[in-house]
Amino acid sequence: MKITGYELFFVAPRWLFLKIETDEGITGWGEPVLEAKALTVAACVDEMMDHIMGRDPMQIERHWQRMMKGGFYRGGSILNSAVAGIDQALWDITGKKLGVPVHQLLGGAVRDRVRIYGHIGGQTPRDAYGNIPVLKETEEVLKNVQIQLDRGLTALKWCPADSLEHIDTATELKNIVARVEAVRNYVGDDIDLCLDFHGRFSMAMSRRVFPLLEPYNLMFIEEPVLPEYTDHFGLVVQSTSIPIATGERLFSRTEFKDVLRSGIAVAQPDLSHAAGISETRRIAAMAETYNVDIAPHCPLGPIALAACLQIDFATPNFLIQEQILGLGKGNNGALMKYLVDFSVFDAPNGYIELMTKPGLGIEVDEKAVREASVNGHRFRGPEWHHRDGSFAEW
Amino acid sequence: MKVTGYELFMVEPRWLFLKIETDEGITGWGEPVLEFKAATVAAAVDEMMDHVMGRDPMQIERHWQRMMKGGFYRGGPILNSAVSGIDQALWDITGKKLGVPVYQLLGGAVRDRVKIYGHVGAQVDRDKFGKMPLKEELKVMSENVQKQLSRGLKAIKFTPSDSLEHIDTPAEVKNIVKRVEAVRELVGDDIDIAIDLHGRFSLAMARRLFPLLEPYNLMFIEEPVLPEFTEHFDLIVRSTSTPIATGERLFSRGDFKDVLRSGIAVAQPDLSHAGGISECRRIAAAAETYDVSMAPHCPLGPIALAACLQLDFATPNFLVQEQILGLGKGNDGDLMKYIADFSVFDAPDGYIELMTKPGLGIEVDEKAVREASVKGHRGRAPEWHHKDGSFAEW
Repeated sequence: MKITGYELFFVAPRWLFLKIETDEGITGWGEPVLEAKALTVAACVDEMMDHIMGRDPMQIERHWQRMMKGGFYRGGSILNSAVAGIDQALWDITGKKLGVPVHQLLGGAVRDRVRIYGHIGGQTPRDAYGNIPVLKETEEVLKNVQIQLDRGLTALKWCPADSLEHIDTATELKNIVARVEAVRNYVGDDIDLCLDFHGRFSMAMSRRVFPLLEPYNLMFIEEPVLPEYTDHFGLVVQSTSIPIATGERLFSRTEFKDVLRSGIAVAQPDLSHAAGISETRRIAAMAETYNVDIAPHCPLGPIALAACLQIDFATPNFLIQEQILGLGKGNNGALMKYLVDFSVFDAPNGYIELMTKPGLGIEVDEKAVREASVNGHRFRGPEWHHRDGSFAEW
Repeated sequence: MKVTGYELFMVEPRWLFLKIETDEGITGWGEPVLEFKAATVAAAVDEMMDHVMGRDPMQIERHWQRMMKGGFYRGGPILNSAVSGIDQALWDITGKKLGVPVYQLLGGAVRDRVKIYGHVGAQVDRDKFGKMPLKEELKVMSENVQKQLSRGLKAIKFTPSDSLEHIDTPAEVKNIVKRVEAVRELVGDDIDIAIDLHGRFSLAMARRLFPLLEPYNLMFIEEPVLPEFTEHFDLIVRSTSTPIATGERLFSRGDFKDVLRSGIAVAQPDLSHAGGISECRRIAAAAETYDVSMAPHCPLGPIALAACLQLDFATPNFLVQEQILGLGKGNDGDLMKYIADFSVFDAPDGYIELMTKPGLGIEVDEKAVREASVKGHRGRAPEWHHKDGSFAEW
């Protein structure tokens, strides 16, 4: 079999889909994307495909080696996201050729269903945040909580802080605690709650706040500080009994070395950034030796989610899967219109049942993708500032 | 002053030039490039310029913060190369506006001239290397050595090995020693010799070989192993008295932390990859606290070289500057046809005298650049394999 061509599609809200074609009529799909840099990753995919055009798509690892290392310069978010999407498509093709789901090619499934979580973050306007009474903010969050609970989900995540000063006020500390307490009181103890700090905290703030959050028995706290400080994570881990999670901005096994050694509890590589299924399975295997579970990061589309799920089914040390497609009871599929049949993602009890179709296990609706890509997008993250006007992390 | 527009020019051999325009008629130039991925970096520059268009170009650090961090995902060779080139252009504009060279804005020059080195590698065919008699190889190399010496250069660098097995034969080890010995015999003790291993060695090979090279008093050994192994550099450093150098594939202060702690002697950030003048000056300052000197990596064009030189003039802990433009006596300026007057790079004694023009200190010949960019390029690194057919590092 030989690769004969490929196409890239920019689809709303901020995604990039890749289709790889072969001379046997089998096509593979992947999501090579970096949020807010889709155009750059697309240009990179164009350059990377030089390495594999005309070659056998089933030589997945050979292509991975060549793409990752053959340009001399290596690593980082752009190169690894381009490779990730291509890698997903090659696994998709290989699975389809052999008539099995990708999880079978990874050693087979070790579970029957995959647990998912949903987001409950509010849309409080940036300048109102912190300025309106905490309980008023929380009203909106609790509405989102109820929506997710009605969908049957048993785990929820949100960010209980807006932008933070390097060391912030006592009021801000108390607000964070109050927001978490409000949600815990609402859902009771059977629902898991996770916080995502989006790297906005400094190490100092983490060590001050996390002990105050221990009474709420959080499932994990995600990205407490920026990825630049991975070799200092030990300080954060040792400041609290709450499990610490990170990884969406770490793009290879090497980048996970420091945080694994520092005692995090949960690794969150992104299948579309950390060099695909090939590399993420290796990250998962390394994580297991540190008693770390994986909870892959996935605020992306159905192709990326399918890639995550294939890994999740086959990974012993798997915890829970992120998704933003509104999965669960009564899902209207608005964000899944790119699939022909999204019942593969049904999750009436907060779990997706074993996927059985070959390859990534989904059937992409190419017509819908093609129509949507005409509009394209140029998504950008928001630009935040501190009170003194200097740059603030979003 | 406001940034009003920009243009990108892909010019041979494998470069990418950026021109930024302002409403005051002042233009700045930069080289935002990653060898073999110029098209990708160009796309990244397009995306990054969203942060800068319409704003005051003299707010260099503000733009740097925004570009580096404002996309949530950060770091790595593509994003940092895009920012590097933009950063160079902003310093160029600011220097021109204030009528001084960039080094003056960095605290002023601490030296009167900058030492440069030239390459003397033999361009032996891939399948002949290691197979033709050493005498023949050395004949080609000695021609290149003579050329650089007759140009007046006082320091030379070459790669004394081809692709290597993870642990290679005694024959290969002895060949490497012979090549180094031959060059030392040719040039005597007044000329500095550096070798570049291009990351082809394993830690094991490095520790076996380097003690054997000590008699030749090398200036430094560059990139003995891949950047993925930066935290293990101390093993190499401790194995030999020869100074160890690295850095062309490290893209920020954070990336340099491990190697600085491990005892390298020379840091080699690339002004077009490691966050530009803004970040490289900070890398230099951090390096100084470890008694590490700077030898910026520069196999690029005259704009990148000018950016390096501006930093070199202002950096106390500077060692030597790489260039591949054939500088020195009798230079025909073939690779410098993109600048109007390349006498600024004259180096009759192996040193470039203090540059005095404002900004980056060069005048780009826009007409020549524009003409050359019509052709463009799609340069790719060579694809090497081991004897068993598996991927080999180039």
